Amino acid sequence: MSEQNEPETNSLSARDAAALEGAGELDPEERSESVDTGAVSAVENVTLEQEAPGSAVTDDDLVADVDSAESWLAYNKGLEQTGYSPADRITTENVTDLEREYVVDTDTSGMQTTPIVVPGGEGESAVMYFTQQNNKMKAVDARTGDLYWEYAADGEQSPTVFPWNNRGFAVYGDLVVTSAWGEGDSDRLIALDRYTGEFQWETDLIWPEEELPEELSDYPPQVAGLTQAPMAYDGKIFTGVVTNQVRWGWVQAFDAETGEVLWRETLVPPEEWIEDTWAYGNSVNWMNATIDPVSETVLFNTGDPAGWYNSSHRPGPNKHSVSVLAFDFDGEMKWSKQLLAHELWDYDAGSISQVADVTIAGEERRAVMANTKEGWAYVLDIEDGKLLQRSEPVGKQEHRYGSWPDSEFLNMVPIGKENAGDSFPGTTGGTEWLPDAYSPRTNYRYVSGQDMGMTVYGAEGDYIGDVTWEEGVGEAAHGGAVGVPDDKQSSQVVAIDINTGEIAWKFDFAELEEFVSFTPSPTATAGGLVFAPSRGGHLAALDDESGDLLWSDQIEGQSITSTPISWDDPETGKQYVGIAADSKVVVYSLEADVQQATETVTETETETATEAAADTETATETTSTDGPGLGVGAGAAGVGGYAAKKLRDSDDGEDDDE
Amino acid sequence: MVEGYGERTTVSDEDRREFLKVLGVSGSIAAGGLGLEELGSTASLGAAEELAPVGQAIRSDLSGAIDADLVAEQQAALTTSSEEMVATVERGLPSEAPREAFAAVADAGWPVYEHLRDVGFYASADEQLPAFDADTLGAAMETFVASDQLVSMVEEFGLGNYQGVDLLATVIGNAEQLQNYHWVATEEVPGGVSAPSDAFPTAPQAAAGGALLWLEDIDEYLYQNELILTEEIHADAAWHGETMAAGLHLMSEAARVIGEGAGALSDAELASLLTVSFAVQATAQGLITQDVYWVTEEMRAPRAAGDN
Repeated sequence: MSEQNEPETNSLSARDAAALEGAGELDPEERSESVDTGAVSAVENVTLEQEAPGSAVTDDDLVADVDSAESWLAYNKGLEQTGYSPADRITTENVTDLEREYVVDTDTSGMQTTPIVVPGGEGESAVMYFTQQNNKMKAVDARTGDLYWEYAADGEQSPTVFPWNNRGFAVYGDLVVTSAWGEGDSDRLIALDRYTGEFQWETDLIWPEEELPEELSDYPPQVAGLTQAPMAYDGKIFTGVVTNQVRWGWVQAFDAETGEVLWRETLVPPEEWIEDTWAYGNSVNWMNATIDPVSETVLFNTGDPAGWYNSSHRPGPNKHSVSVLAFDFDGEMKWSKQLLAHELWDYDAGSISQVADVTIAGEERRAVMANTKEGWAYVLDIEDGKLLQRSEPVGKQEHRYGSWPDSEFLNMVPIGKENAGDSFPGTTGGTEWLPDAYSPRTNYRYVSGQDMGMTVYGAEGDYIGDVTWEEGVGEAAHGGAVGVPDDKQSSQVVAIDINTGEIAWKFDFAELEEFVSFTPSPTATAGGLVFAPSRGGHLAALDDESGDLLWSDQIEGQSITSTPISWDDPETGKQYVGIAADSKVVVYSLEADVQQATETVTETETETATEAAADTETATETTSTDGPGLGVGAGAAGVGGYAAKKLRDSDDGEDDDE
Repeated sequence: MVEGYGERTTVSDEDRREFLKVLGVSGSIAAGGLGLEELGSTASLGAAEELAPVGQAIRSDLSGAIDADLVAEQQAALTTSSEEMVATVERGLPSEAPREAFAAVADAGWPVYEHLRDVGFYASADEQLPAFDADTLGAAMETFVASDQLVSMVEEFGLGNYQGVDLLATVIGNAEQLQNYHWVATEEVPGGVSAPSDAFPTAPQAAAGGALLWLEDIDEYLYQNELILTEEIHADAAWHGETMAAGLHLMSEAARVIGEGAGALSDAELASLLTVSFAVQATAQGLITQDVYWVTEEMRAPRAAGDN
């Protein structure tokens, strides 16, 4: 993955550093004692203006989130991470009236967080939670931006941990969970009381040497960081981990109540690599998991195997690099699907998957949608990972190498700096880590894309010579980049018709601004809109069927590297759109009638889905679909159509067993 | 089976011409043309005489270490499973579940691979064999073709006549690529990365082990990617799988010769056999990505129109 090519997003700014000054140091021993104990060790770091309203977030609430207009409970919306809000007050007709409601200024910069929004109770405002780049976390009133609490975590950013970009919270029960700088070479997972911001528990992310299984023990992890928002469900918190650029990666699940590690699984199985190449196989999970409550699957996508450009040191397909991996909730792998074998251009599967019931080739399927940075979007069968669709290329695919095999795309990088050739995409990818959106309204997937090339070469290595790992584009590169081709470069939202795999339309941000690189992460809504931000500080609203630009706003002085969110508030009669920009969280709103454009789910399906959700093991009581709870009654249908059928089938099976 | 599977190797006429040039033959042959036996009379057995000390040193390194019976037993399984694997092409791409055709070849190969690793076979080959440049490969290939015993090893595996030519022509046609991208990692990994060289396989071990890893993977790959694959890609998978198996077979023949301790092959022939066996396996790994795994838009099966 190429995030090290984005220095503005990875380095601690002077502003961040200044903000850290004076932050209290937490004694390492004290912190270590707090692991798994639930002890409150850092309450002095909380600024509490007012307790945040609401009640415990249950598994049922999380299941219903995907179809709820009033909540945004997980990073990219819903356990399934669809990037789609059923909120529909803002439409193609009235979006031009969208205006800023409030702005929350922060004392940080380079934010990459995506806020979450948890509805309050009857008569209460929803709560917006977001993380900052400087080890601080906030809860604010989602209607006004007024602060409920701020938590300033202790610790310092480790120079050895991969660039720390805090991308947000998970919410579960009475907790919000995210990562914070840790002790030495490991970041930590921390849980806060979501009403007061008080510290609850923390656990280091690193896999301790003494807990490694024998087959992994010769190469203990050196560092562990997090570049994703955790995901919560089934009493667990799921995360991947980022090691350094060459060591092997793993995924893990924590007990949501205590932070205790429940399981860890390597992403680089030694038995599927030759000798100890696995130990340097990287293949880390950069972005957060996607959870399918229907098939009871947690999906992790993986990055590239280390050593770009000349991959001669790691023969074979390099399992499970550049893959989608499906686990059950107890850590047993169900299937793996490698999207690009023996990858060597930094084309990883660094973003997150979406899960949805889609129409594909005329058939309704429950599917996983994922990308790789080489610029294809994939649709996989949730049951076994079989490929159901591969889209047209999202952007330009061209390797002007004159090397092996001398095809137009996907060939070996030329050896030697003097032979460097142009590569589209470059290491920044045709897609990147920023998430995409799937709209059930259009059956389109809106992919965050770009055309950005790079001129690259592979390091020389003789049969009996040295293998050199060159500096410049990251220490994992076995070769390097020497420039950028002259070709036009651009950032785009690309709409892919899932039914056919064809590109329905593209929106190029050149319409709004001089090109500023990076992928614009889209969010779709039931009002027929796609909201997408840019590095130039624009937030654009596009027609979801045509890609026409309908509205935009530029947030002055701000670069945006995050995903828009949207939610409905029946009490204010408004739909909100929020985005974390460089140093601000900006929220827009529009007061309008609900369009009720979302598909009506039958009563039978609603009941079935609710029953099925109630069957899942939850630590807390289920919330009724029409009760106060999170106000997600509209979304209680949760899983309809094919998903509801699967749930019924599942229930039938369980009944049979009994 | 895809029409003309036997003729449908991935070898170009240009590769075949280059191969003939190495053997000192002018003109060209198309697929299905001359076989190895006919070409043998034009090649010189002494072309790789410079490699004789290499063969001698490897014999010396491994004297008494190799279990020839184990190798022979697995060779039989390797040949049988390879034939069965190729036959699956006739059944088309797997739709309902992965087959185990390619994996069966890998299963036959792993015990030999592990035994040879344990006795230092790859380490010795890595230490003694010269780099895979065009001159070395050309000399080894000429000796190989001139040797009735070595040619018969290819034929016994089931790649007689033109398929044997294509097996070897592939190596010559990709000699430069082998030199540049020979799937080898050795020695040191300096600068910024704490990756000790002994974590990586030597060139010969990477050739053999990498081939087995691909063979282990192909069945699932064909099933999971049926949508974008064509019967031509399936046939290419079978061909590259077959050449990997052939490379493993030739490597096993060399190991068996060393293990049996008799002078069945000259030192130069042994060195040629080892060079060709590793080069075949390494080349196939490069080509299987190109022809089977890295499926570009031009290669893929047509995108089915949806029912809009």
